[in-house]
Amino acid sequence: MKPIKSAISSLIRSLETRYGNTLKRKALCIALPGLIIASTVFTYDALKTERTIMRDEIRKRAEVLAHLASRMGELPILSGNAELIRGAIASLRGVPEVSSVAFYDRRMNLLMQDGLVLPPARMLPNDRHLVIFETPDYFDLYASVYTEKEREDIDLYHETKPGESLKENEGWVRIGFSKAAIIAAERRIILKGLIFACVFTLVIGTFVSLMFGVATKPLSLLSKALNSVRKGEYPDIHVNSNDEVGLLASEYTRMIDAVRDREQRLTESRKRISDLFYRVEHAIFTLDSKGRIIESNRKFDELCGRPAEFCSLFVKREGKDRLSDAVSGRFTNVEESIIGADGTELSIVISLYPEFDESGNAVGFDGYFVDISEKKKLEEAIIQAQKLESIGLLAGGIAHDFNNILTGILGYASLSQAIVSRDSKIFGYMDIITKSAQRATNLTHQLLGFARKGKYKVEKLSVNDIVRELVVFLRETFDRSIAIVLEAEGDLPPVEGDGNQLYQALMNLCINARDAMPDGGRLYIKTETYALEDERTATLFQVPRGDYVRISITDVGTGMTEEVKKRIFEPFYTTKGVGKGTGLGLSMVYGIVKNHGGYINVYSEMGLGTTMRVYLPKTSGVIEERRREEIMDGRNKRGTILFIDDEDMVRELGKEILEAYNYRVLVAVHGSEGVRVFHEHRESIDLVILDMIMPEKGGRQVFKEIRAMKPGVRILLCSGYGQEQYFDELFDAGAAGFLQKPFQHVDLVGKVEEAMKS
Amino acid sequence: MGSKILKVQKKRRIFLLFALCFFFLLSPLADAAEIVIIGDTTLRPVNDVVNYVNDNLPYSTSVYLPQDVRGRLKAIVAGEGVKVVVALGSEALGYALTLPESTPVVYGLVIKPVNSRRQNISGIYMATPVSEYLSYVNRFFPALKKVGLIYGPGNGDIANARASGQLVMQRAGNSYEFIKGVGALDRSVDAFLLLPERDLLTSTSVEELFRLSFSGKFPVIGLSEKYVKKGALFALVFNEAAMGRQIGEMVKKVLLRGDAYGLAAAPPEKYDLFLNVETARAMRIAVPGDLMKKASRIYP
Repeated sequence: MKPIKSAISSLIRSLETRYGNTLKRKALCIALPGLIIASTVFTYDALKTERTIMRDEIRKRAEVLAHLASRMGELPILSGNAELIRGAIASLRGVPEVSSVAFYDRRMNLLMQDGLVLPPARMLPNDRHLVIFETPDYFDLYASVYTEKEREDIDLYHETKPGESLKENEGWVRIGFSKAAIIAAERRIILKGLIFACVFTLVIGTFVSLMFGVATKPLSLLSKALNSVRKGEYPDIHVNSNDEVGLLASEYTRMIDAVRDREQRLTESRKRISDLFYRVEHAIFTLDSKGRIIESNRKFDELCGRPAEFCSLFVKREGKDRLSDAVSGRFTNVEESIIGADGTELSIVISLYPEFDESGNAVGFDGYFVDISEKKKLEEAIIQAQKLESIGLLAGGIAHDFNNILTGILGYASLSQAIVSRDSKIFGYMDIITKSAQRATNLTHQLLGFARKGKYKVEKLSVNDIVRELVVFLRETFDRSIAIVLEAEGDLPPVEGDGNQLYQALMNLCINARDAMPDGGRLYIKTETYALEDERTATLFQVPRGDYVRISITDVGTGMTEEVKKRIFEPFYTTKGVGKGTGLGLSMVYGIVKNHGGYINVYSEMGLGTTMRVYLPKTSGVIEERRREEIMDGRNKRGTILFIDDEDMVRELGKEILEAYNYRVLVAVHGSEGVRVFHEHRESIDLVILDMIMPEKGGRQVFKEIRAMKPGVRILLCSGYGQEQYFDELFDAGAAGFLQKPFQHVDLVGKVEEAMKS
Repeated sequence: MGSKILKVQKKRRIFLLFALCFFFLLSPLADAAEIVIIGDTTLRPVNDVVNYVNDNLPYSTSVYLPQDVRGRLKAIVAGEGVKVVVALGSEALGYALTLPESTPVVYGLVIKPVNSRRQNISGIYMATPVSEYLSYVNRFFPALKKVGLIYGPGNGDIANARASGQLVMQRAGNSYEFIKGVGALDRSVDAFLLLPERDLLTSTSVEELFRLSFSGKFPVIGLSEKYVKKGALFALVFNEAAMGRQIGEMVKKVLLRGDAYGLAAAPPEKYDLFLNVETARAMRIAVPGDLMKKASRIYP
């Protein structure tokens, strides 16, 4: 049985391999041999049965023939007449199946024979009436030829039962009865059986195939559907059946719905992750074990281009060292420098994580880095700004103290000159003192400008007007080798600020540009509107986003190194020779621009030139005509003035000057006393000159308290620091003006007169 | 030695005792019977004989089937003191003929008288005499002028009865010759009288006879009811009841005399007539009404 089983198994496997593995084919593989066996068995059984029937029939025919022959032979044998025997033989030979006939007497002596030569006759017992021998080709029949008589005399008178009669053997007739009919019939049966087996196998096979086709059609549909699922499609199938296949189909539908829903969610999730992967501002990448870049996101490509090797990105050290560090887990949040896509050096913070296989070997790496170049620049800028801010504070403090000192020097020098003759030596000395003090005052003004303490007047200005006025001046004063090109945008919005300071700042920038082109060149001045939208830039320069007026001053000079660029706004830093510059020019520019709420940007390439861009916040409204007011002589003006200043020299100088101009002057040494004095004389006081920088109670607080007592009183603000940001609030509240220390008597009287008119 | 002889004698006695017991237990033949009847009791004439003997004769009777006495009849007769043996049928007669002359034998149910050297024998035979048939033919079928018959080798006495010129006779040694004879008689006779010749009347010869009869339009006469049924015109057959009584009276007669010497065999005393009108019609032979009245049975 085992060889048969293994043969069937191997046959089924080979059929499966060749024609696929389907239930239908399996069923056919199983059914067809069964059908063939069944057909063969059926055919064999039919053949056997048919053969038996045929044999019985032939045998019966032979027996009948033998019986007939025995009857026919009775008289010829009894007669011994050869003609009668020949006639009997001829009659018997007339039967198609009879191939030979022979007659014998009762002692088996051959009387006559016709047809095929038969083997010698056998001796047979007389009581046998029919003996049949079978050969492959014919039946050898020995039929007894007998006479049938009554056994008893009485039997002649009575009916005798069959078989009771007495049969006496008279001889034998031997018949060769051909089996050709049987053989032919067998062949016909075999042929029919084979045809029937083939037809039966074909019909049943077809039927089985059709039935299995019908039965397995839903399974085929399921199979195709699942194949489609493998390809990413989700076809619906409809099986109208409540059997197991129907249940399977409905389960499939439910499964497909679930899978489709899951895949949709997965796709969405994957898309979100992919979008995140490509949109995230981190550069993300995947490496193989040798550091080749397999996948990277948009940011990575943006920053690094599409390098094949991860290790080639790094500026310092061997790239492979990073992979080794990553394998050992020592390469996370490491600050590195890489070569960017445009060849620039980028500062990054990078992390690299290895992926290990089951053996612990690194098969790849996942990593990301963050570009911190801008951040570093911002940090450096902030540090620079903080440094400049500190220097500015220092310079401002010094300038304040100097101003107070110089106020005394200048004031008393001018008072002294008022009381001495112009021809005296003292007047000449005083003049020298005054001029020296004025130079010192200029220095403090520049320092205050850097320290953003020097915006004396605030008005709406046309930058184009200032620039055009500047260009006229420059073209007259600069060497002819410097070609000045002005490109001014029409409809430029106004800015708010001090025109003189801005003029001075732009002048300083142009002078620096000229100095950068000792051999001449072109100096480009350009004004335009600029919309600052970049948050980083706004953060970098600590200004709000919005519309700005940009003034670009470009030279084609020597350019600056990075080191120089970092330090150009520091006070007293200069690249010019000794005596050629104070080092305060660009510091003042920086202070003025910052004081006007703007910022300044430097772009310089060594050997190509430098562009300084000044950004000033635009404002709305109409530019007023600039008034050049003359200081009116106010000796005949009268009024009561409260002078509040903690500096005795300044307070006494002011009192002296104002009383000299017939004003009644009340003084207070600090803010609290000022408030008290004002309270006592509030009805008579016309003007309050209020120092803004005082210990304990500052000028701002005193302003509010005085205003609270007498809202309409005129208050002239005074400071050695220059105009602070919060002064705008006080101007809005009705401050009458600002007096910058140090002042000369003309300045003081002018400001007082102006305030008294307001 | 002496004890050994005693043991052997004792064994012999025990053996004889068992043998006697076996004999008496198994042998009903041990009953004494004065009349032994041998015959097939399924045959009505045999029963009629037995009944007659039992009813009318004051003798004990034993009835045997022929096969039961095969080879034993002498012993039975000798052991029981049988006064007469009644052999009914040719087989039984064959056994009876083997008995000693001293035992009287009465036979019956045989065709013709026994032609034997044995003298102490007599009986009743069944064959209807030819003369009886001729008497009927002449009386009721006068148109049948010539009547043919064929006799066998043992019927030479019939040949001697050619007194009547009405008969045309032939001798036949076997059934072939019988058929051949019938064929030869075909055109020369008006009817054919069938004699009780067992050796000639084979199934083939009888069929051929009737074929020739109907094709030659000559009626067959005789032999018994079954031949009438097959197509014979008529037959005169011994009356079975009368035959039984006749045999019984012959037995009585032999018992009274003590032997059968001188007692001639007798034909049947009474006949039954069987008639086939369809054969008559086919042969276009008129059947007289008187004959039909005499018939015990008319076929078909």
